[in-house]
Amino acid sequence: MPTASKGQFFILGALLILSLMVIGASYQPLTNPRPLAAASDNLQRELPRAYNLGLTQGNGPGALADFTAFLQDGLGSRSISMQAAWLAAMPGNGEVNFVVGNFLGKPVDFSLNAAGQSWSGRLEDKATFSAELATLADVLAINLTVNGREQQLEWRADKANIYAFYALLADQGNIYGEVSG
Amino acid sequence: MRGFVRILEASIAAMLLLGSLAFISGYRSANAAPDLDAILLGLAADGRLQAYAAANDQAGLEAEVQVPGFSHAVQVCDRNNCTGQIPQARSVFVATYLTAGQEGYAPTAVKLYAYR
Repeated sequence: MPTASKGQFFILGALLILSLMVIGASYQPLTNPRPLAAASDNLQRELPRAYNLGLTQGNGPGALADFTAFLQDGLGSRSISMQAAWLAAMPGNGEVNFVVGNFLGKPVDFSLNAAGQSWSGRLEDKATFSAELATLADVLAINLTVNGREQQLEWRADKANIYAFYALLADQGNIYGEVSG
Repeated sequence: MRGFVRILEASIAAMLLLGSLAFISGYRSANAAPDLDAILLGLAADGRLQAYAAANDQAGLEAEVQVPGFSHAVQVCDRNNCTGQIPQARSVFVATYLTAGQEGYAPTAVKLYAYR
């Protein structure tokens, strides 16, 4: 083959490779740029709001449990698995009412210590545990352990409080976070 | 003469390569997914999204939203029903925000669709 005609084959080869690149680029899936981060932001903002809105209707823990399940269903339809556990406190008349919620997808062992009084047990998935603490203290030192994960908190006894930790699991990665309010 | 031909062939090959790379880059940018989550989070940050959702004001929320370069549609859904339609188009992007309510506890899902 004459040397001068080789260049045409290189051009044809380049055209073929470039055509394959263009075709390949057009079939690349264009995915949502940040689904997990957005889901985490959503949860951070709305979980405390659910508790506060429920408190105004006389059932803060009920609303919190219901909304946690709502989040799990809504995120699950987008292939995001949400696992969460939380502690909520409501002031009463000379007492504080605590509620522990387990939405980790499995039964867990928990313990709660507040102002020297302790409760512990095993909590089924999507279940809550309630306890009352008679106290006149202004500030409560609280120790919550759920499935071996320990969290120390310091809450005012005269206001409603919430603490939650969660995990968002998806094919594109995982996000772990906490919510306080 | 032979050398001139080779230079010409190499120049054509380089122009083809650079042109294709520019085309691919432009194609990807023009067809990039819109950041619908950012739009919903922005509306939720100042409470507008929750207010529209609580009032089931799907039309008002749809008029409030802007997605540059795309047509858009909004659905407001409680546990049983949705207000608004899913758009029928070849490429549809969707983002969802789950809200706890506004004046009282009323869980609602707001879905924002963008399409061409």
